Amino acid sequence: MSFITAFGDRVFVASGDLIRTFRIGDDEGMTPLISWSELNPERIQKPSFEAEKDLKAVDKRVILCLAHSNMIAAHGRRLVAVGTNEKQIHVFEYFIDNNSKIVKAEHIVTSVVPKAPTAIVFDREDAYVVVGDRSGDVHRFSVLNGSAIEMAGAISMILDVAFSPDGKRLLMADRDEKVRAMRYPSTYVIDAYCLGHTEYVKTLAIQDNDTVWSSGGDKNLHMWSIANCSKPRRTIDLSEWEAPVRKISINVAHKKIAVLFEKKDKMIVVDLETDPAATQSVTILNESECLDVTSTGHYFIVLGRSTITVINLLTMLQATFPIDDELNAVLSATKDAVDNLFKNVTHNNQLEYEKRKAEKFEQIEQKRRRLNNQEPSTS
Amino acid sequence: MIVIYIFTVLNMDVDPVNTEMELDNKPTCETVPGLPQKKHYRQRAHSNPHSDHDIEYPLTPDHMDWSKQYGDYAAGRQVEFADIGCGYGGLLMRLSPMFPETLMIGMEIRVKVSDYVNEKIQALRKHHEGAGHYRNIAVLRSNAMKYMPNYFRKGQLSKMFFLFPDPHFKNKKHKWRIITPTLVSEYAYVLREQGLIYTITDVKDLHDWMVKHLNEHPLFERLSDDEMKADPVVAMLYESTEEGQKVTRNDGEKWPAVFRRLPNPPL
Repeated sequence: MSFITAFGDRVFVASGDLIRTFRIGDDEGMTPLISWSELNPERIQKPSFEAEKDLKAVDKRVILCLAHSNMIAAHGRRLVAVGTNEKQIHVFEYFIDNNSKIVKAEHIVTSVVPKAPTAIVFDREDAYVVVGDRSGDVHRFSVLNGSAIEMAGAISMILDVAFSPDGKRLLMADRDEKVRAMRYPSTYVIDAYCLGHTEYVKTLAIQDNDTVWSSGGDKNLHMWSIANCSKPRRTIDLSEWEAPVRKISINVAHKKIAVLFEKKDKMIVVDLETDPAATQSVTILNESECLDVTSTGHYFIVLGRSTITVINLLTMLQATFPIDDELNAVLSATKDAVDNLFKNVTHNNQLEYEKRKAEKFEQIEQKRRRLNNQEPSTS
Repeated sequence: MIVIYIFTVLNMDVDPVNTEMELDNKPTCETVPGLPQKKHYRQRAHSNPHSDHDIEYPLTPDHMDWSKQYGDYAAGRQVEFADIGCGYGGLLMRLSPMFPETLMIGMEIRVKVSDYVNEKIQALRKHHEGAGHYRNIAVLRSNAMKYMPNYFRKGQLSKMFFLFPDPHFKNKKHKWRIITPTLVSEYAYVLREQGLIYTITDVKDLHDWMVKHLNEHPLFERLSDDEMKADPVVAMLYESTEEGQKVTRNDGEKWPAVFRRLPNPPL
């Protein structure tokens, strides 16, 4: 798994167990955010879940999701959260000097999740991280003390979580084609199910408090109004690129959505101001496969197998950011936690059953006929 | 408890007077031609709700063609009662004449069992064709834990039933129970305000669990004993299902509980 996210001009990349950061336009290059040896054992929470008390022992730590805090408030903290295959959520804080250089980074808290995390986001006030998991549950963890609360869930694998800009709605996308909008923090009130995708929903992008974009296995980009979601308000068909959608990222100021596809080197930029939406195909230089994309300022930033590319939305020019050998090696070998998200119906119970039933009742009928035929001769 | 290896001889209490009765509580193959025999439809009690079943479900509630279930009777009506994990469908058959204008659906994940219920409903409908009974009940093979919002709109249902659900005794399996804090939120979505959730079980621990989680949920409140007594549906919970009858035969206790859907708090 490999991820990219940005806050202002600062970019974070996570791949394998590496977390790197750099600034757009900074010659200093990439630095590690923090070393895993700096985890403070006193700040690692014990699991509060009844089930699965044992921490998962893993050969190699792998990051499964990555998020940055929102810093809406003036005193907002610069936080980075990652979820890992050890079923842990680690939150780090970093501090910058007047030149925006990182002067210090420290481990804030580590929480334990009941299942492997799949998606992570900070709530608007950065008081909690909200984490979706593979079993279909969504929990939130206090940044202050790591305590956990179950927020929502069903039994569909969660693939993305997101907040409305006002922080009052939590959205989640699942493997069973659904986008769900809940109130936050009163997540027991489900406001809407946005139904219309015909395959898994992998990725969400929020345009405003009522508008969310979603995409995934069915290659459609749907736009929903949460208040009125009986059908998509807009649909952009991306099937001509012949691959499931891997990630979408919206640049609200430029009204553009970047789209990445599974195992493709291209990125598509959708212009939301045109109708029908104009799409522009962007070939990422020297890249064979795009893994993740994020948006900040005037930029889309694409993480690939071997490159990090900053795309200026004003000029559409690409700038490749140099990456170190260690990250390069991890990126080239990175694998997704779930290889195939399409449904895996191994056998068709209904059809098999109907066949067996027909055979069984045919046998019963034959037996009855045999008995009937025998009756006159025996009596 | 859903354990269904019961080898009841279905036609053991055939009463000639009963065959004259219009709506017989215990129809048999003798009284209703074409009624399926339960002995051909036995199935293990459990089905894994997490695995990818070959279940067909509508894209949205607007895509659901209920005329496949109710024929012409679906026109101008919408499903209002849902029996989740309806088993052999006993409750539906009993409720059908009580609320003849109301469409009711049983949801059952086990193929064979849902087929039995369907065959039984078809036979009953045919037998009572003239009077038009049993047109308001039907069964769907589906996974209610996954696909509820695909079938029902927000606030569409007025009653939901959870009768003798799988107790999932092991602690690790508790999250598989059909009543969990997060699944109750989904039921609140499809239930209208004042709508009711009916539960009954012969497993005290499960009863306590269901009461605890529905009581603690901000969108539900429990009905008082008097309110339960005043509701004629509550009496149906005890004996209408095969599970309920089995518990009675074993002199087991049964614990019902009913909960009302409260309005959403203001935004």
